[in-house]
Amino acid sequence: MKFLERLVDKMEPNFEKGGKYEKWFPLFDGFATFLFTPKHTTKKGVHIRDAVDLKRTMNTVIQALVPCLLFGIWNTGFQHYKALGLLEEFGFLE
Amino acid sequence: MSLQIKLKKGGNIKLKGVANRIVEDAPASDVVAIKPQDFHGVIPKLILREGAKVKAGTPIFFDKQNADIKFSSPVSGEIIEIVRGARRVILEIRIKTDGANLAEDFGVTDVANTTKESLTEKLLNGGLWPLIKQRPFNCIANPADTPKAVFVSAFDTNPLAPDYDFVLEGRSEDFQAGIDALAKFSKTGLVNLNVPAEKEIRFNEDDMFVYQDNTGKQIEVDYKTASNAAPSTGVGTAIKSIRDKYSKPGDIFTKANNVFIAEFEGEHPAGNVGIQIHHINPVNKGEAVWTVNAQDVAMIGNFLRTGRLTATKLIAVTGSEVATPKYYNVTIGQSLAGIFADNIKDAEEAPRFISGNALTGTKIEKDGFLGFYDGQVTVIPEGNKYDLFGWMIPIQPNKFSLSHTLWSWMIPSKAYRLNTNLNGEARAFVVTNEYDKLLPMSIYPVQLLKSCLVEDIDAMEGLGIYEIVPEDLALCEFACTSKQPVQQILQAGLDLVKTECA
Repeated sequence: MKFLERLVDKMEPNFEKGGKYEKWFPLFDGFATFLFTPKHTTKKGVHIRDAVDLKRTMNTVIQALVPCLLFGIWNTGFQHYKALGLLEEFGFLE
Repeated sequence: MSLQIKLKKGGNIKLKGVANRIVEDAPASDVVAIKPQDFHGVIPKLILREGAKVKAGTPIFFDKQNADIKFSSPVSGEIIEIVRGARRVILEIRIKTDGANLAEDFGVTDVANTTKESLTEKLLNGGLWPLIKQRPFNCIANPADTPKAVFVSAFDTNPLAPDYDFVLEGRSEDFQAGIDALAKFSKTGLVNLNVPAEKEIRFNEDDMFVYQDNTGKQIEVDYKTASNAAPSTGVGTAIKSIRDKYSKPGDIFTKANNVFIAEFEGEHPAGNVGIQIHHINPVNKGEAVWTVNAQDVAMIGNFLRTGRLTATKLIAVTGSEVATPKYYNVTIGQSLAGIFADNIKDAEEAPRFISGNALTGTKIEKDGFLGFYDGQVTVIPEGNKYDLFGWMIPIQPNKFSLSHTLWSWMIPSKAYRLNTNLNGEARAFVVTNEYDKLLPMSIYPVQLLKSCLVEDIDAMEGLGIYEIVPEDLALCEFACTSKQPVQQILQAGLDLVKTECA
């Protein structure tokens, strides 16, 4: 994926202060950080940092919620048709 | 008489590049430097200028706020340069060694029959007083104070920290003399010496295992072969003897006199003396507890027994970028260029050199100088590289986290080659439970840090600012998901409380 890195590095000066598309920096930044974790290094304080950050934490939350969500969607339908007594008709019980 | 304390909170960070237990004399360094910035809160006032001839123990500068506290030259030679930074702040005082090894004579001291006042004067004049630090604030101890206790930690649980049992081998007389001297300052008449219940002996599993055979020759063996070797072979005996000898605290600590021994069990930061003080004799407002590093105790003892300053110490050169991590015999403030010259692995980018450990150390250049208080040097790769979808992929074998969002928690014995990448960006200070799980003290770290940020002194005092110092929160800073500069925030809070209240 080196070409992506080079593309991002090439486009970045246009979006920084004084660049042509300065106003669109948040959009570019969102796109770049969607692809890559940034290459900032530690300056003060500890020299090594945990691999987890808020982005990864929230991402783990989403990954954990997806099975619950899918089950919830299926279950809502199931309960609805169960209450109506129409389970057999709509194919829940084979 | 002993106490056993088990700490449930904390976390160990296993890095690659453990120092092999062999000692080498560091290549002689022409220039030695004392950095006043190693002493937080000290405003240096120079006694000698460029061109002055010095001997080991000659005072070079003193603290503006307390003229009794002097800082002396570790070697004999001539002051060649005083490096200044912005606004004429002194960054380094460089001394060119003359190799003559001359030292000021302060007279041999019979510690048992000396008064506390006379010991204080001797240590102040010899420039050894800065080795004694205090809680609160972790600044240099005030000689006019009477501390309620003196604490020494006999182990260090920071990543890749040196093994004090190995470092102090053969120095039990010096160590005991230092303990006897420090015991005179304590109200209890004893020094609180804290030992580990058991130490984990680690080796570099992907690297070479280096040991000294009976003839004193250094032998390098691939660790995988070494660990599978039969116990009767040379290498098998070496590994077994290291495990037997160093997995428990040595006699130098357990059989010392004038000490109260407490045994600590737990993960980092169990080795931090601040945590140990909190569990045995917490510091309140108006009280003081003095702390000295174990190797510095031996240096004080040696000074008192011989009457001259021998400013040498054993440091561990560690880290994944070091070709053969081992212990070196160095002078305080020595240039590390000679050590790094032929002991760094080849890599496309220059690594980061840290004087100290990876959590609390300071960044230095390749030809930088060892910090005054540092007993190790860490070399790790810089991490200024992009990582494709690094924030999303759950299974990444080379990444380490103390949380359960990666798989590192399932393989606790693995060592990692961590780099200096921030692994994210600074975000708002979110209140989760992550700091509490890593700080074995009964204070609320996040609330304390927030009170430091808003400079609310009453809140800071109520939340325990007198007990905590930045190194205790270094592990919390490591694990912080919001990438906050925790140690910096706490240090600012401590500085504020010190100027306003003390």
